[in-house]
Order: sequence, then structure tokens, then C-alpha cells
Amino acid sequence: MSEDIGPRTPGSAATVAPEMVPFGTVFRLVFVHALRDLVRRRRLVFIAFAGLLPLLLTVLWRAEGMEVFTAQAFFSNLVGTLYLSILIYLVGLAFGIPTIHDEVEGRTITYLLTRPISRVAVYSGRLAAVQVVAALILALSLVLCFVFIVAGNFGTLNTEFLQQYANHVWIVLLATMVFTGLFAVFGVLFQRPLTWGVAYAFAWEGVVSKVPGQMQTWTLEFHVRNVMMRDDDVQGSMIDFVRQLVLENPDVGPWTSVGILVFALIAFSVIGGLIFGRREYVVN
Amino acid sequence: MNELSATSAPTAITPLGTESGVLECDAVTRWYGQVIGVNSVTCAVQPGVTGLLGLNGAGKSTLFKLMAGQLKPSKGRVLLMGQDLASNPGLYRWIGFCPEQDALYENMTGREMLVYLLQLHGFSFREARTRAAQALDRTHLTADADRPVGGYSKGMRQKIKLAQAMAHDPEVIFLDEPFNGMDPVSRSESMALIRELGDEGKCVLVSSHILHEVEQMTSTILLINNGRILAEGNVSDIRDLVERHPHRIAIECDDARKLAAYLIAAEDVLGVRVDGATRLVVESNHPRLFFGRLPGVALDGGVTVRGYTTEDDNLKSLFEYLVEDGS
Repeated sequence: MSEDIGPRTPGSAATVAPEMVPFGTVFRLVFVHALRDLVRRRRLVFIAFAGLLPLLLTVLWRAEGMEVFTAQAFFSNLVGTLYLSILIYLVGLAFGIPTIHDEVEGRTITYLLTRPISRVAVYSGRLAAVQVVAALILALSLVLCFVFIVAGNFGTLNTEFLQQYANHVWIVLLATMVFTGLFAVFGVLFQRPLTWGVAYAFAWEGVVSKVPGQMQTWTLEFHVRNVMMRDDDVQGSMIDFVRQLVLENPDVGPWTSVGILVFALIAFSVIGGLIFGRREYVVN
Repeated sequence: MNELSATSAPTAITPLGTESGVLECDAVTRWYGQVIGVNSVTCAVQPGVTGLLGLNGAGKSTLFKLMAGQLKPSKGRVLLMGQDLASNPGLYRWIGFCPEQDALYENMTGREMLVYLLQLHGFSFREARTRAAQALDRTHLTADADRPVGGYSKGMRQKIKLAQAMAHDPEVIFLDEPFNGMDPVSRSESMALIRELGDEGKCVLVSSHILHEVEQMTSTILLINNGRILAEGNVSDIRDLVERHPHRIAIECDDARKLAAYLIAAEDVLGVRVDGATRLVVESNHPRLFFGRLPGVALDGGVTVRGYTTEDDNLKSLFEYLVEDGS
């Protein structure tokens, strides 16, 4: 594009206001740039290793002769204990908080803030990149776990297990994107986003989501577990145990929980974009 | 004393209301909580190179950031080509900004970084490549264009920042301390480039705390102190203001006492202090007149003058005198 960018007469008011670069163009450029940047960062390696933790447990389970749990129950436990209680928060914190923080800490934010572009487009492009990477890491981890569970153990494969697996995978991925979006908001909202993020993840979500009664519905983790538990009827699994624990489980339908999670995903993206759009960044 | 080597560009700052400029500040004030960063600054900047001078902490960077739309004024407004920058991000098409901080996309090559930032200005990939090549050429970085900027020297890093500020052919270019860490050759090349940009009709604002650096690019300066514009206009006009104050001139010669005896009789000399056998310090209220007479006096007295320096010919003294005048 080489359009005439405006008046050349000093002192005269511009007759035509110059337009910003289209949202889609900025989104694409920032998304690709952020993806390239993310794959070069050390935190990716660290989180990738954390993503391999379930794999280690799967190997141990196989080594123990698969006697403690059935394959289905083992996978449910794995998702309930590791993915939902730890990994989605870890990945969300590691990728969500630096969404904009990387540009601020690297002091390269100045280059973005002095271009004719929408800040919301910048935020959206970077957020989409971190969400894709975060979801891909956990997706890869889940696929590898599945392969390790069923490899040479094809008797465990049945329609019910496959349905359960598919259900768990998409919920884990949705939850990862929701938490990444939430922690991205923390990254543009707070001076010490990591402190707030850890406190929120492990003090609020981690505790309140397991307290019987209505209060748990105010956590996102409750809605994630609520979707899984409905379709997961595996005796002896961790999810089954949680269900036993919260006998006074509020009657929230699974699709309501899905709706809440999708709404949260959109809301966090919009809120983060609006905060970033209005906030002043003084880079010294 | 440095020779003025400014371009012949017309005065680039005009008081607001008489003739509006490319960039105008209209009673711009910025508070940081209880602290005032910039206090009711009103000025209009015309095409050409303008030096924004101030000591560290004077408010240069705040004013720069306000002018470039990075900060919003607490009061007043900044107008670019007559339009309010705060409410129209599209105006950034006309702005190039070279930040003071040493921050680059370390993993990208110089060319990649320029192409990316040019694309964010709306240029197609092909056009961005062409413009990036031109900017790299003008900043003498072509040979290193395909190396990661993380491996660039300090001078090269400054140049790539300069390149990204001018690559999209903006009307107004902000250069915040652009010569920090540059070697003399890079400094000279960059100064020449900045003069060229000014001659091309760009409105170039250069922030610095070193007077002689700015003097080598322009005669038009804007002096800021404690968040206020202390003086604006031509360097020599501002120097004339200062010449009302006695200047201290240290002279190295072969017979300080003899030269002192000759100098003390002159009307423009207010005092002489002999500072050793070969050094004396003269206080003069007309330094230009004094410098004109000195060779003749030395010749009459048979004294060999080896050299002289003006002890208070620096920005700090300039500010002190201007503040005294204003109080």
C-alpha cells in the first residue's frame, strides 16, 4: 500500500483524517510475529516439560501392570488431578500473563504504540497466539498420554472410552484458552500479575471450586468439572470422588457451564483488549 | 567554543497563534500524581530540525512522549497537522518515533524488524521490503541487515532505531537521545542524515542534553527546564541572552601575570585571576568582543597564548543563567 498519507501544508488542518491499518491485517501480522517469538522463548521448553508430566505417570501406571485403575479411570484421574488442578493454571499463567507483558518488559511496546494500528487488534493477535500455543502444548500432551495408555493395550479401547477421551480433550483445551485469556487480563491490569495470578489460581479456583454449596459456581473450575462429570460415570475415578465430595452439587446443566466458559473466553478477550486500549505505558 | 554549523533552515518554532506549525502544543500540562512533568507548554514546530534541550529530569522525555501521543496530556492538547493526536491513532502514519531506550526485537534481523514495523504501517510485504532496504542503506546498515539485532553493536542498535523511525516517510520524526553510545563515525553519519531529513522538509525533533550535538544539526532549539519551556528559537539569540552574564575564560599562555596586566585594562574584562604561572581565568561580559581582541593583546604583550576554554559554555550554565534571568 502506498496511498497518499495526507496533507503537506504545515499549519493547515488535515482535510482527510488518515485511516488506521485494517484490524485483520494487524491481527495477522501480530499473531505471526508473536508465534515466532513464543517458539524462541525458554518458557516454552519449561512448559513443554511440565506437559510431559502426565506422560511420566502413564509410563509408571503401565509399569505397574495397570492394576490399580482401568484405562478409563486412569485417564479420568489424570485429567482431574493433573490437567484440571495444575496444568491448565500453569500453562495459563506462563502464556497468559506475558501476552502484553513481554512487549512491556522488553520495552518494544513503544514500537507498537506509535503505529497507526488498533491496540485491540494488537492485543487480540498476541492473545490468539498464546492461546494457540498453550492449547497445542496440552493437546500434544493429551494425545501422547492416550497413545501410551492404549499402545499394546487395545482391549481398553471402546466407544465409551473414546467418547470420554474426546470430551475431556475439548474441555481441557477450552479451559486452557479461558484461563490463558483470564491471566492475560491480569497481565494488563496488575503491576504484579504473577502474584495475583497464582493467588487466584490456587487460592480461589483451587479451593472454592471444591467447597460444597452454591459458592463453587463462582469458579471457572467448577464449570469445567461440571461438564466432565456429567458424561463421566467411571467408578473409582478422581472425578467420581469429587462428585461424592460435593453431594450438594448445585444443579447447573452442562450446557450452561459450557455457555459460561465460552462467555468467559469472549469476555476476557474483550476486557483485556479494552484495558490495553486505554492504558498508558510509560517506558523508561 | 564550538563553531555553529547549523543548516540555513528557517526558525522552526513559532509562538502558537501567530503561525500554526506541523506540530502544536496548546497549553500542554502533564501531572504524575502530585508531581508535574510538563507545565503548560505552548509551542508550534515547523519543518526542519529542532533540538529539544534539557538537563536530565527537565521534562524532555515527558514532552516528547506527549508530542508523540505516547502520553495523554492532563490538560491542553497536542495537534498534528491541526488534528488532535489523542483521538486519532491514524495520525501515527505521519509520525516516526525513535525511543531513547535500548530496546529492539532481539531475535529478528534488522531487515525483518523493519519489514514487520513497516507492514504495521499498512505497507504490503513487497513495498515494506523495498522501503526497509532504502532505510537500511541510508543508515549504513545494509551489510548487517540480515544479522539478528541482538548481536548489533550499540551504535548499530541506535541506527536501526533511527531507520525504523524514518522508513515509512513520516512528516514528523521524534528522535529521543539518538546519539547515545554511538562512535564518532556513526554519530557524524547520523547527524548528516538528520540534517538531510530536515532539508527534505521533515519536521525532525531531536532530544538531547548535549548542546554541541544539537548545534551541529540545527540552529533552532527549544530549551526545557522543570517542565517549562525556558527559551525557544535560534541558538545565537539564546546565547545572546546568556552573554549578559560574565563568562569565565581560562587561558593557557607562557606568562600569565604579564597577560593579566594587559587584559585587566580592557572594558569588557570584569576580573582576572592568575591561576599559576601559565594559566589565568578571565571574567568577561562580552566574550565575543574579548575573543576578537585577545590575539592582538597577546601580540602587543609578547605573550604566547597556547589555548583557551570557556568554563561555563555548557548546557548547565546556560540553564542556570536563563533561570536567573527569568526569576
